[in-house]
Amino acid sequence: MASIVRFTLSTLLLLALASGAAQQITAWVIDGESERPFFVQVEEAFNAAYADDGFSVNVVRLPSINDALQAGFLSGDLPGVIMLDGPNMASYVWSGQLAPLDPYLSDELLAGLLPAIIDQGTYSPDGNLYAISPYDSSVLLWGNRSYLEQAGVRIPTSVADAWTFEEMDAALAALAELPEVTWPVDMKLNYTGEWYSYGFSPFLQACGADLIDRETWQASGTLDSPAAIESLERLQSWATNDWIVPAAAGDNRFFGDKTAALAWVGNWMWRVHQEGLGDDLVLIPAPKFCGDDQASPNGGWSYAIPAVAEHKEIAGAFIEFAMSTEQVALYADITGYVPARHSAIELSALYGAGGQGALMAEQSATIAVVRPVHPAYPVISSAFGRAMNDILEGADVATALARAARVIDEDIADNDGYPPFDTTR
Amino acid sequence: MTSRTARYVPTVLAIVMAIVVLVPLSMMFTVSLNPDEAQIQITLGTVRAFIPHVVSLENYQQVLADPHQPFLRYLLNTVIIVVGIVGLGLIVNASAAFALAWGQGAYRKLFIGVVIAVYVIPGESLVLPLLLMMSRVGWIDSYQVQIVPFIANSFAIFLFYQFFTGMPRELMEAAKIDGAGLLQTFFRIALPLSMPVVSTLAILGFLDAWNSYLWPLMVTRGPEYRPLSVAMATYFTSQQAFWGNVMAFAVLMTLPVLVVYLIFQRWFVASVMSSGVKG
Amino acid sequence: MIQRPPPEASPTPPRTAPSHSGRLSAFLHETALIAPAAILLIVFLILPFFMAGYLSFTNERLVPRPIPTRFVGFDNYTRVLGDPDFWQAFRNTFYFALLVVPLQLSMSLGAAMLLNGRLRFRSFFRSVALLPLVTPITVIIVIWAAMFQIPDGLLNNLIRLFGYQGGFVNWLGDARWAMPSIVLLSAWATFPFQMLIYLAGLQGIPIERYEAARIDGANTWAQFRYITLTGLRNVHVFVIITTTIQAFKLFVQVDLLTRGGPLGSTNTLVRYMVQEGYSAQRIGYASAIAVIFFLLVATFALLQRALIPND
Repeated sequence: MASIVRFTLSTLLLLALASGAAQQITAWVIDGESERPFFVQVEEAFNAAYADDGFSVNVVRLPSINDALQAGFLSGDLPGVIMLDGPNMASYVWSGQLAPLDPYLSDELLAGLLPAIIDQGTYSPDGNLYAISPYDSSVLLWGNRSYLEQAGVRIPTSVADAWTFEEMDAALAALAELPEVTWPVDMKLNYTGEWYSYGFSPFLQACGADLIDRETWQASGTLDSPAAIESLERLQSWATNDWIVPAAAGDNRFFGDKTAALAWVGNWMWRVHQEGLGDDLVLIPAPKFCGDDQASPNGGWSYAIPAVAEHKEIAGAFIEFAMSTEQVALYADITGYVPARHSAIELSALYGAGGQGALMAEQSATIAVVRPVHPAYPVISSAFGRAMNDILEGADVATALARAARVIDEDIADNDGYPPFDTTR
Repeated sequence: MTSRTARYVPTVLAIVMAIVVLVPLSMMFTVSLNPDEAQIQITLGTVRAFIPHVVSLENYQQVLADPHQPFLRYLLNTVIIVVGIVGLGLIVNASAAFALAWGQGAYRKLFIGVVIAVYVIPGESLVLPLLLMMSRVGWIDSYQVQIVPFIANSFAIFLFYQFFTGMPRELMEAAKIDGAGLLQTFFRIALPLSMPVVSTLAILGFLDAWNSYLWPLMVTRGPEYRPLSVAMATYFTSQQAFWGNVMAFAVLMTLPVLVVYLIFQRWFVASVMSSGVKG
Repeated sequence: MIQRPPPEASPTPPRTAPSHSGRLSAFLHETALIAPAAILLIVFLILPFFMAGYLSFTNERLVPRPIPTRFVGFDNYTRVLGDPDFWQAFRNTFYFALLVVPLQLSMSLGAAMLLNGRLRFRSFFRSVALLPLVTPITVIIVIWAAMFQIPDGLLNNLIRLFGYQGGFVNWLGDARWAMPSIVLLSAWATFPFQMLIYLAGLQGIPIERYEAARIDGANTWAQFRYITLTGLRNVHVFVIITTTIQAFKLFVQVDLLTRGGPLGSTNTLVRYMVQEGYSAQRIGYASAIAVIFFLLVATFALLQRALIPND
C-alpha cells in the first residue's frame, strides 16, 4: 500500500511541476474554540512535510463556514479543500458541487475508517466517498459530581446502566431543589443551526420514530407519528418545569457560574468542561428515553473537494495527510472527539487503552444513529430544528411536528423526489 | 401647579429625555473600558455599568489585534463601499438629473415619472431576484456587488433634479452663448453649484453604509469584503460572553459616525431630514 | 423637507433654430448624461422588480440543481397564503407597527415640542437627542441586548426597583414580551428622525397664532389641540405613513436578537421572506412573498400621496 501512496505522490509532484502553476492550495475549515489549535498545527506540519515537493496549504478558519460555503457554491469561487457538515454531503453532491474523494485517497486509509464515517460520507446513488471526517462525535450527559451527590442521584457509568426516563426525571426534580442550582440541565438551547436537529433527534430515535422514513423518504407518518409526539412531549415537560437553561442565559451555566447541574452536549465541550469543573466532572451515558432504548447522534464536519477546485491532487494529498493516523489521533486529543480511524484510536491518549473516552467510544459503537444521507437533509434539519425550538418554547408538539413533516415532504416534491432518490424505495 | 414650578417642567422633561438617550450609550463606553469580564457580568445591571470606574484600553487592543475579526479591514471595506456608491452616484445621478432638467428629449416626462414611481418599491422586495442575478454572474463576495447596484438612485436623481430646475435660466443661456454644450455646462457650472445636494447625499450614503445589513449579509462570506455593520453582528454572536470586547468593537464602529456628526452637525440634521435612512 | 412630486413642466430653454450637426451633438450630450443612470436603473431596479414577479410563478432555487425549473402557476401564492407562518409573520408585522408608531410618534412629538419651546441649553439637548440617529443600528441592538440580560440586566433591575415581584422577565425569550421589547429598542433607535421632521413642522407654525389664541383665552391644552396638532396635519400624515412603512420593514432587530422567536412571535414578513429565499433557497416561493410585501408597502405609499394635497 505504501508504494501506491508514494507513486501517487510522485505523480502529483510531476503534475504540479509540469503545470508550473501555483502550488499552494487553500483549505476552508471550521473555526471552533476547540479545533483551532489542531488546524494551526496541521498547517505547519503539512507545509514542513511537503516543503521539498513545493506544495503548501493555507488553512483558513471561518467562523460561519456554512454561509461561506453557500456563497462559494453560488459564485463558483471555492478553494481546494473545504470542510462541510457531514449530513449536508448528499445535498451538495446532488447539486453537483463536490468531487469524489476515492481517487485521491490510499486504500490503507479507506480500509481503516470507522463504519460511521463511511456511512456518513458515501453517496448511495454512485457509491463514492465524497466527504471524510477525521472524527466521530457523540452526545452525552456531563454532570457536576458534587451536585449529583448532594441530591442523592445515582451516577451511571456504562451505556447499559444508563438512567431510564423516569430516573432522569426524578434526578432533575431533585437537582432543581438544590439552592446552588437554578436550572438542572443545560441542553445548549443557545446554539443555533444543526444542533437542534443533531442534539434532539436521538430522543425521537430512542422511541422508535425518526426524522424521515429511510425507505420511502417521506416524513409524514414518521416524524409526526404518535411515538415521536409522546417522546417530545416528555422532553417538553422539562422545559415547562423550567428545568432547562433558556437560550438567553448564555453558554456558561454548567461550566462557568455552575448554576446548571447537568449538560446535554457533545465531545467538543470536553476541554472547557474539564477546565471549569476539574475533578467534579462526570460523564453520564445518554438516557434510556423510551423503555430500555436509547440513541445518540454521530458524525461531524468532514473534508471534501469542490468540483470546481483546481489542483485536486494537492487537495487530495492534504486530506490524506490530515487523515493520517497521527493527525487523526491528535485531532481527537485536542478536541475530545472520537478518532475516525481504528489505528488512531490506539494512539490517542483519550481513547486508547485506559483513556477517559471509553464511554464516548462505547456510545459511538453501540447506540449511534447516523443522520439521513439524503439531499433533502438541510431542509429536514431546518424544519425539525425549528419544530424542536418551538416545542421547547411551549408549542403544541403534534402541530409543530406535523408542520415540519409537511415542509419536508413539500420540499421533496418540489425537487421531483430528488432523482435518483425517488426510485430507491 | 404654580407658575414657578411650571417653569421647570420643560427642563426636567429634557433631563429625563437626555437620561433615556445617554444611559445606553454610556453603558457601551463604560463596559468597553473594563477589562474584567467577571466584574462586567456582575455589574451589568447596576449603576456601575454606566459610570466609568475602571479605565483600560485592553479590550480595544484585543479587538484591534483579533486576526479572525480584523476591525481595520472591515472599516476599510466600509469606506471603499461608501466612497464607491457616493462618488460614482454623484456623477451618474447628477448628470441624469441635469439632462432631465435642461435637455430637449420628449422622454423626460416619462423618465421622471418612472423615477418617482420606482421610489415606492421597497428594496426588500428586490433583494432575492438581485441575489439570484448576482450569483449567476459570479459577483458574490466582492466590492462591486455592494456598490454597482446602488449607484443609480431615484431619490438622489430627484434631489438633484429639484435643485437643477431651480437654477436661473440666464445662467444656462450665458453658457450656451459661450458655446458650451450640455456636457460642458453640466461639469463647469451645474455640478459645482450643486454642492448642498452633494453634501446631503454624501452624509446619507455614509449613514446608510454604517446601517446596511441585509444585503451585505447575503453577499459576503468573510472578512475580505464584509462591511462593519455585518461584522458587528457576527462579532456579537460569536463573542456573547465577552461584553467588554463586544462593546469596544461597538465604540470603535460608532466613533467615525460620531466624529462626522460633531463636525458637520448642521448639514447632518438637514440631510437626515430629507430622508429616513434607518431600518 | 417633505418630498413633493416635482413640478409637472420643467423649464425648456428657448430654441434658437440649431443646425443639424448642433442638434446631433446636443442629442449625444444628452444621451451621455442620461445613459449611465438609465442603464443602471433598468438593470438593478426595474429588471429585478419584474424578475420577482416572474420568479414567483416558478419553482426556481438559489443554487443550480440537476432538474429543470418549472412554471408552477399560482402554487407559490396558494402555499404562502395557506401557510400559518406567513399569517403569523403578517400579524407580527402589523402588531409591531401598531405598537411602535404611536410610541415613536409621541416620543418624537414630545421631544420636538420641548426643543421648540423655551428651554435652557437647548442646543445641548438637541445634540443629545440626535445621538441614537448617529449610532449604527447593529450597535444599538448590541447595547440593548446587554440591557435585556436575564436575570440581572438593567431592565430587570429597573422593574424590580419599581416593585416587580416575579423574579425576572425574560424579555427576549418570552413570547409575550419579545415584540414589545423590540418595539422599545426600535422606538429609541429612530425617534430622532421623526423628531426633526416635527421640529421643522412646528417652526412652520406662525407664533402669532399662539398669541392670538392666548388673547382669546385658550389654555395650553386648547392651544396644543387646535393650533399645534392642526398645524401639523400634513406633517402627521407624512410621519405616520413613513414610520409605518419603516415598521413593515423590520428585520435586523429580530434577526439578531430573537431570530424570529420565541415561537415565531417576532418573525416578520421580511424575515420570513429572507428565511425562505436565502436560508432555504426557495427563490420562487420567496418571490411570491416579495410581491405581496411590495403590494403592501405600495398601498401605504400611495395612501400618503392621496392624503397630502399637492401644492
